[in-house]
Amino acid sequence: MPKRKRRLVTRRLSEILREAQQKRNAAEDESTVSADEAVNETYHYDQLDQMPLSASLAQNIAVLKRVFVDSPGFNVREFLIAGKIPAAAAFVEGMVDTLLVSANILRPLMHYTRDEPVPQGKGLLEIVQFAGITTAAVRTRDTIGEIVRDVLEGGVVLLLDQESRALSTEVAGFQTRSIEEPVSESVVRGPREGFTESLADGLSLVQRRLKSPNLAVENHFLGRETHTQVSVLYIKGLVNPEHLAELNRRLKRISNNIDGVLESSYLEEMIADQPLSPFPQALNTERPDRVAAALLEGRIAILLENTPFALVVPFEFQALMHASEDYYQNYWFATAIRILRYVSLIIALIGPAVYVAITTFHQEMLPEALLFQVVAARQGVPFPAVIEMLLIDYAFELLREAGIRLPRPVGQAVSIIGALVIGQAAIQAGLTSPLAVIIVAITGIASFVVPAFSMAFTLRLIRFPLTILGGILGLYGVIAGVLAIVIHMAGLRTLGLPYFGGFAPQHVSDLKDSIVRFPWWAMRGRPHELSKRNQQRQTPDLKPRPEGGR
Amino acid sequence: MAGNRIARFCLFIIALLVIGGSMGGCWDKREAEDMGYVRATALNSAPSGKVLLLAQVPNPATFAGGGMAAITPGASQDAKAYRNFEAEGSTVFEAIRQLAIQAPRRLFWAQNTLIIFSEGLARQGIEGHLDFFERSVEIRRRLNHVLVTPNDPRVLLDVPAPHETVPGGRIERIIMQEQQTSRFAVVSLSAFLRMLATEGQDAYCGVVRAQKNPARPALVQQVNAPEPALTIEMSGAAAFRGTRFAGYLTERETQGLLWARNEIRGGPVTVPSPSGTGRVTLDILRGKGRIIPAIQDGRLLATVEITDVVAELVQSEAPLDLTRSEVLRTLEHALAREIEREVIAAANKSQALGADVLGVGAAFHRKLPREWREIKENWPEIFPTVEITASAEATIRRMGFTLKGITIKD
Repeated sequence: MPKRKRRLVTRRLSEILREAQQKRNAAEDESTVSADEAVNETYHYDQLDQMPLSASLAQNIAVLKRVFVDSPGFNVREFLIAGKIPAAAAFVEGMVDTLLVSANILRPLMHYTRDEPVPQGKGLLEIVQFAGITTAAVRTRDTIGEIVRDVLEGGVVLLLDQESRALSTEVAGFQTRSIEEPVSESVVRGPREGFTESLADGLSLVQRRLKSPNLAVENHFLGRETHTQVSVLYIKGLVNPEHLAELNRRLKRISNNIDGVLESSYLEEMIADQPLSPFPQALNTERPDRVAAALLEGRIAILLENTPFALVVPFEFQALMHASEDYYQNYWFATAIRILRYVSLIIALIGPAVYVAITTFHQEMLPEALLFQVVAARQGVPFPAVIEMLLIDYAFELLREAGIRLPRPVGQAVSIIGALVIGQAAIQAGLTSPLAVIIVAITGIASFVVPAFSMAFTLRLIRFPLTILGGILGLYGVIAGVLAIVIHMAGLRTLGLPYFGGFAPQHVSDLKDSIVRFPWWAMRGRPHELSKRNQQRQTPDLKPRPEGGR
Repeated sequence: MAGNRIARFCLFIIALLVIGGSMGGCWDKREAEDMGYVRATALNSAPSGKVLLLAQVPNPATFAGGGMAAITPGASQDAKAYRNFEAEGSTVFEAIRQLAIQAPRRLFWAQNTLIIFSEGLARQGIEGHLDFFERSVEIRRRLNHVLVTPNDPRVLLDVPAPHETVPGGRIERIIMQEQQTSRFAVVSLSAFLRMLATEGQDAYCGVVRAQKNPARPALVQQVNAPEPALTIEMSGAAAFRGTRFAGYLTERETQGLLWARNEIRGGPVTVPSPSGTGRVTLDILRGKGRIIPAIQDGRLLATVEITDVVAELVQSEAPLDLTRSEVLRTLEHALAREIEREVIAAANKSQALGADVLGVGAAFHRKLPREWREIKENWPEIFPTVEITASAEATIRRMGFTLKGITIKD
C-alpha cells in the first residue's frame, strides 16, 4: 500500500510542522525578554553552564535563539527524523562543513528507515546516536553552556523533543591555511612543515612524529570571550610531574579571568616565572620537529588554536641559543656555528658599548695605528661618541622595523639600499663617522645570528642602556652592566628550572649539547634539570664501529 | 605591599643614579678626537737651569685610511703629519703645562714611545727629570725607550722622510729593527730605571743622531722630492755614571757591551778567512753572556763568558771548502776571538769612562757579596783597576746553500 502510506505521511507531516510552529511561538511568547533587551544581554559560561536543557525542543530552540540573537551565521535547522519526529540541528554556518552536516546528520536521520518504529522520547537519543548520524565523534550534552561551546567550536548540536539531553558532533569545516614552511624559522636541511592556525592540524603534526601511546594531552579552554582551546602536550614517563602540575596551576589561574587569549604570547607573559624580565622564559616555535625534540627531552609543549606558534616550557638559556638545524647537520658544523653564535651574542650585546667606552675613556688601550684611524674618522663629527652611537643604532633599528612593515617588493630594496645610502649620506654630511656605521652594521648582523627572535630582541633592547653606561662610566660601566645582566639571568627561572641550565648548576654531561654539539652516539642522557627521573635516552654503545672489531 | 615595593624600587633607582653620577662619567670623559697624542718627548737644557720640552704630536687626519681624505672636508693634501710644541719650564711638569699655551688639544702621553735627552742636559744629570717619567701614570714603562742625542732635538725631530712621516715614529721603527743589528743599544724606561737601581751597574741607553744623509747627491737633480739633507740614525750607546752622562760607546763597543749584558740580538761579525785571503762575514743568531767575578791575590778579576753563540755564514770573499771540518773549526775560533775583542773594547771604554755599564760590580754583588760590601763604597775608583778578560766559544750552524765554493776543484 505505498500510495496510502505516503499520503498518510504527508498529512501527518503538515500536522507535525504546524504543531511544532505553535509550540515554538508559545515558547517565544513565554520568554519575558523583548527584542530590544535581548540585544543588550551578555552571557557568560559560568551562567550558561548552570542552565540545564529542557525536555521541550521548542524551549531549547528559543533559548538558543536568544543567546545567539545577534551572532553571525547562527542557524537552527529544524527537520523531522524519519519524517515523523521533530528535531533541530543548531550550528554556525561559517564554521561547519555544510556538506558533512547534510550528508552525515540530516540525510541519515531524515531518511531513516528501519523495521522497528522510531520511539519518541525514551530511547530516541540512543537510536539517533548509535544508528542514526554517521559522523565520526558524538557526545551527549546536558547544559546550555556545553551546547553553546560546541556550536561555537564548529560543531552541530542535535536537539530532540522530550529529551533533556542533546547530541553534539564535530563537523568543523572552516578554511585553514595549508601546511607550509614556517616563515620565521627556515632551515637548509630538515623538515619544512610548520604549524598552522588549526590546532587539530598541529596536534596531528606532533603525533606523526611521536607515535607513542605515552604522548598525553590535557586541554584547557582559556579566555572568557575567546574560549581558546589550549592543549598541553607531554610524554608520560619523561616529563617531571612537578613541572606539569606547576604549569597546570598557572594555566588554571588564567582560565576565565582574562577576556581572551589570542596568541601564545599572551600565555607566555602570564605564566612567566619572572614577568618583569625581558628575557624569554619559554620557547615559541612554528616547527613541529622542534616541539617533538623538546618533548623527548622531558619538556612540555603548549599548542593553541588560531596561532602557529607553540610554546615549549621549561626552556633554559643555552637551549634558546640552539637552532633545529644544529641537529640536522653534522656535529662539526653544529659546533662551529654554535661558537659563532655565542661570539655574535657578545658582539651584539656589547659591541657599541665597548667602542664608546674605549674611545671616550680608555684611549690608551688602543695601539697607535687604530687610535689614529678612530680619531681621523671622528674629525669634524659634532656629537660625542655616545650620542653618535646611539643615533646610528637608533637609525638602524628604525630601518629594520620599517623594513618589516613595507610591502614585500619594495621592502627588500629599501632596506639594503636605504641602509647604504643613508649611511653614506650621514657620513658625508659629517653627522657620523664611518667607524660607527661599521660597528653598528656588524652589531646588527651579529644580532641576527641568534636563532630565537625573542632572545634577539632582548639583546637589541639591552644594547642601548649598555651603550649609555659605556659612555658614562667607561669599561667599568660596561662590565657593571654586563654583571647586572648576568646576575639577573642567573637568578631567572623557567618553570622553576634555573635559566643557566647546564652551566650553573653545572652538569658536565649536559655541556655536550651546549656550546658544542657532540655526535648523537655520545649524547646519552637527557638534560639533568629536566629529567631527574628518566636520564638515559639511548644505550651507551651506539658509536658506529665494525662488527666484531674494535 | 605593592606600594612598599614601588617605593623601594624608586629608592633603588635614585641610589643608582646618585652613585653612578658621583663616580664621575660625563664630566671626566675625554673625547678621542679632542686629545693630542704625544709620540716623542725630548728634553733640552735651557739657560738658567730650566728645561726645554719638545712634544711631537702627530696629526691623525693624515693617517686616515681609504676615502677619508676625499670625504673629510677641509683636510688639505699638504697637511703636515705632525707638530712639535716646545715650552720652557723649571721642571718637566711645568714645561708640560706651559705647552697648554700653544697646543690646541689636551696633550696625552699614553702613546708616547720615546724619551730623548739632549747630550747637554744629560751631562747635567737627569735624575730630576726622570722622576717625572717614573711617577707619571700616563707614561708607560715598557713602551718608552730612553735615548740621548748629540743634536738639537728641534732638528732631530723635524727630519723629513717619505715613509714614517713622523720622525718620532721613524725612530721607533728603527728600534724595532733591532733584530738585524746589535750596533745600537735599546733600553726601555723600565730597564733604564732598573739599571739605575741596581748596585754595581751603571745605566746606558741608546743614541740617536741626525746625520748628513749619505744618499743625497752633491748635485740635487729632483727638485720636487730630493733626498732629504739629514737622516736619522741610531748608533752606539750612551754610558752614564750614576745619573750623569759619561760618554758615548762606538758601534763596536756597543756590540761588546751587549754581548756582556746578554742582550745580543743579531748582526754581522766579520773575521779573516781561514784560507788566508779575504774575509768572512757571519750573522749572529743568538748568544749568552755572563760575567764571572773572582778575587785572586787581592786583585779583582772579571771574566766575561760568552757561550752558546750560534752564527750563520753569510758571505765569504774567498772560496771556502766547508766539507772539511777544520775549516769550520778555524772559522769558529776566529769568530770567538773577534767576539772577545769586542767585549774587551767595551770593557776598556767603560773603564775609561768610569761607568760600569757591563755590570761588573753587580756580578761581584751577586757572586761575592761579602767582598762586595767592602769594596762598594769605593767602586768608582776600584772599577778601572779590575782586570777584565773575555772568553767566548761559538758554533757556526748554518751556511746557506753553498758548502763548497764554486771554484774549488775536487
